[in-house]
Amino acid sequence: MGYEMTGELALRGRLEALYSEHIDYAVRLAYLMTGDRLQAQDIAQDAFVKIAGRFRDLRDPAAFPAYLRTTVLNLARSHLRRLRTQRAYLEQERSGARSAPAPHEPEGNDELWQALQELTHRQRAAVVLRYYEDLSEAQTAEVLGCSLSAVKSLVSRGLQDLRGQIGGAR
Amino acid sequence: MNDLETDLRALLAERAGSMRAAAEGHATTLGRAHRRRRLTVGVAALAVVAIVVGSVAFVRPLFDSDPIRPVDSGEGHSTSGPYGFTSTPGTRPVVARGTFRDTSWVLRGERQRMGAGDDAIRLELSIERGGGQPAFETDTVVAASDDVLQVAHDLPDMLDGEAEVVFGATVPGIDSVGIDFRLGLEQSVDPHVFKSYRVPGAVKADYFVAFVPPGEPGWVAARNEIGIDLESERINISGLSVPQIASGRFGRPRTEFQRATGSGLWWMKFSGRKDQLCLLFFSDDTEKECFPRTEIESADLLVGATYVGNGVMGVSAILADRVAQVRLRVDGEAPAALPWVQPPRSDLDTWPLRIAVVGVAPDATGRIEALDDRGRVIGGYQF
Repeated sequence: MGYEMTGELALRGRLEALYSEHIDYAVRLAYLMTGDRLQAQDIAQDAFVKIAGRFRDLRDPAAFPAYLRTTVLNLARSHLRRLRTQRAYLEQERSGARSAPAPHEPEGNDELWQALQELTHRQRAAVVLRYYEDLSEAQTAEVLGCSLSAVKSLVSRGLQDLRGQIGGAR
Repeated sequence: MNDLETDLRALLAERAGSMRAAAEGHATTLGRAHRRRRLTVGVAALAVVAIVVGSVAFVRPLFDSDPIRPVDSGEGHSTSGPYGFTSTPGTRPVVARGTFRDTSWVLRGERQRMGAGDDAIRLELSIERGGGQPAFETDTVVAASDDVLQVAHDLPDMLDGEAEVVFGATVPGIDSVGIDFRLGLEQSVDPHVFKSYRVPGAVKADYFVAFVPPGEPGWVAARNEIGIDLESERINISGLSVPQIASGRFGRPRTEFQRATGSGLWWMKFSGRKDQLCLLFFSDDTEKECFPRTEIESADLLVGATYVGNGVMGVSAILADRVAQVRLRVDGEAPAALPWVQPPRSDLDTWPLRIAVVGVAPDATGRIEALDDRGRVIGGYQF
């Protein structure tokens, strides 16, 4: 029993350390993928809960950040899928009073931000990984589980769509 | 680098930075205590998850190194009725293929590297119509870190609106998948399940496919060997006639409910302490409903209705053993049967609890009813 308790406490300590170290990153990535602050916080939290449940079984605990990144991307994808089915409800909500903008909401470059929200999940993921995470095309391909040429295509089409949506000004 | 790429980098950095600033601002000006509680809850939840999940017998390691198994070629399945279809197990990378009406479909599953040497399974379903030309393709990814059920079901256009396809994967511990439609009318569709297909790598999964009525609200549920829903996902929520805006699943940790709403996510957890059970909602703030054990043991149905923020009222019902069905009646809407979940006994010792949860509009009025196995109402609660 003493041995088990020691192990559990050690595990808890490692999880707390990982949580403190990576929660901000997870929230930011989720926000860039969803554009929704509340959802981003919940997705990040959910990602930790998911990974924590299998933390003991990770072959390589050093892979935690990669797992976290992929889990956040998957959860964001699931969120966007649910969002599609809830569109009717959302539109109903929007017809009512609009909520006040969140505090600290940046106002600059809103057009580009809105255009980013219109990209497909995979395009947005590729763009965020390339231009926010600064991953190489090869690293992005590994995260997204696709070929190098697919990443080139996703980014290229994503940029093309962004240009199209902001009027080709850039 | 052109202007757009430069602007894009700046925008992403700015927005990501604002997320941190917003969180810090929130803590310092609006609700430091709330945020601290939220983070505390998060860390505590992680610890509990790790300890509980690591201890539960039915959770098997997913990262062991199993040899690649040979692919069985079974005889396949065939179901009848308007949404009946045929299927035949395939050979890697084809999980199965078959026909539905005048179309043929193929479900493929392949290993996907997730980086750092770990795996996921990529599921791709394609529909072919005449000449073998793909008419529709979609995919989903089952990661090693995913919960017990992964569902994709967003194909309303591929068959001219005649049907949708529900497909996905379940990880070990799940014995069957049930799909129920037309809530309140108790219609179900039996998916075809393929258990012998294995991809190389660490993630083990079974796969399922079903053709279902288009636009019908329902549930896909992953069940254990005695038929208890371990996880479920609501589909086609926009078709619901009642103002239920909850959608989500009962996932690990199994003492946690999650429900996604149209305007945000709220969590519901329960914890058994001393002689009472408390259902906790986490949303804009923490709310809880507590029921003494004596009440739980003497009543057929206990219901709590709590406004949890985000435009949602959470309604939770605790069901006694005699209850065979729980039904939601929102005034002016059609009745709807509610699925329930049963926490594992190990969490609450001898408390034989089943719990149903649903979110309704905060101004909704109605009734939750408990029915016995003959369909008789044996308890109710007005909200």
